[in-house]
Amino acid sequence: MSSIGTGYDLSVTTFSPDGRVFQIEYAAKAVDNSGTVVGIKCKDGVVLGVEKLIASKMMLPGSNLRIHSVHRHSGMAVAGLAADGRQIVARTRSEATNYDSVYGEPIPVKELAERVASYVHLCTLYWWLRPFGCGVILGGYDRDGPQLYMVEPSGVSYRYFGAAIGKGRQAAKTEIEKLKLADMTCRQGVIEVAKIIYGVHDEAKDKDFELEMSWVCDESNRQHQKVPDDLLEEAKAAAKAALEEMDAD
Amino acid sequence: MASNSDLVSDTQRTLYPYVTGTSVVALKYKDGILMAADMGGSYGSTLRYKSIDRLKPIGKHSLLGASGEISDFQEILHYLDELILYDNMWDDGNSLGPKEVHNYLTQVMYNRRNKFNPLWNALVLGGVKNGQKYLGMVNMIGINFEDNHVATGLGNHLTRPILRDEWHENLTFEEGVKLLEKCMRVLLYRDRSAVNKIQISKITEEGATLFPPYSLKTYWEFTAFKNPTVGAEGSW
Repeated sequence: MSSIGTGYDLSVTTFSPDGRVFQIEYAAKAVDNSGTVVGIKCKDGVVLGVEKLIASKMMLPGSNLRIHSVHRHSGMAVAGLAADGRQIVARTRSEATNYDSVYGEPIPVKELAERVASYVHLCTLYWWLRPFGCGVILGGYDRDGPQLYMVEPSGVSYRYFGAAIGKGRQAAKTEIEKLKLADMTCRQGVIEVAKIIYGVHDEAKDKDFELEMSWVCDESNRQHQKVPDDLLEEAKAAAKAALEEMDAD
Repeated sequence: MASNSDLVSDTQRTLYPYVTGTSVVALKYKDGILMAADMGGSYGSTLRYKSIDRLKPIGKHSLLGASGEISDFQEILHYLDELILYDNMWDDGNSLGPKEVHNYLTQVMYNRRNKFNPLWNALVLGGVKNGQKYLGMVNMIGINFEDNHVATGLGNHLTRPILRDEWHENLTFEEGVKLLEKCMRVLLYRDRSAVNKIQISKITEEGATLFPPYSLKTYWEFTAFKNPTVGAEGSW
């Protein structure tokens, strides 16, 4: 799938003869090599899950959070270069609080996604900037209900029922397509996301991982928060059991 | 050298308050803090607004009561809202307690005072975090302190003496409310900007509770009230 863009890939302001901007495609590769990030929109909310690959046994569990609250009603999960991700999160929080200051209501998720996408796209327009090496899955709950958006390094943003980025995205997308999201509550969704992430984790290639999950749903009072510990444990247990069942076949 | 106040015209600075709230009284009791204020907003000498909420919970651990310019109070609530939001977004299991919020407010108030553009308020900040009770006060010139009981405005002169005599450690909730009602009644009789619709709120380790507003019973049949000008003929 990869092609050598010799000569046309030195700058983000150069098109190749077949109309591609190679720098953006290379940025997307940074996302593809990171741990899987999954997001699903259930009946009553959005669930985000991250396969946080642990680089070293010295790291404290619960540190290096990949899911960030962006306002009370929304959160984003980041895949790719962590430092780039921090910049995007900071900018998104700033956009959200600014909208609230000016208009007096929490920023609609659609508007927020557009602003994130705009910002990411900005960095693909000038030769003195480089594209962000991260993809973002943004989930929120506003007047129009729960919504899920994904923003890629190219600055493209679409609304999804289910989205996945990172190493195991192909397998994850296949699993998500099997789910009946319209009938699922977030409580059930959390279990499913855990199963998917445990399922796509490659034991052989990758080291240990930590599962990080968050939700925004009616049960959480439409606030974005980490999935409560007891539900998280329940989800992990169900995911491990499902894995064993698969191995047994 | 042009100073900031030369470059900024007078219409950009607070010169005098317009809609004001009167005293706030608060005390520490056994389980936390009790705070009381009336619901009046005066427009000069007119008691124009009679349902203004002057007591607000801040985050999980604090309660803020304000007297003075109501629009500046709303601005302060906006700042605090953003402060608490960013604190929550850290998602680190920690949350700002009353001491921290009080310190933040003191910084804001003092800095505004130094720029000759004060927020025209006297604020009472009380709360409980990890079992520690905290009650503090900060005003428009940045004077701040903490104590077992505080009051703003006329409350300082009329109610603090009562509190100094009758407050003691570990008041029960009922004793605390009774003491606050005594303070509020004195204010109702003697403060011309007081309205008879008071709100009491409490904050404990479990959180903040704002009780519904109610009126105090008053007695106007004192003999001294019967012929008020007996000692000063010609006055009213």
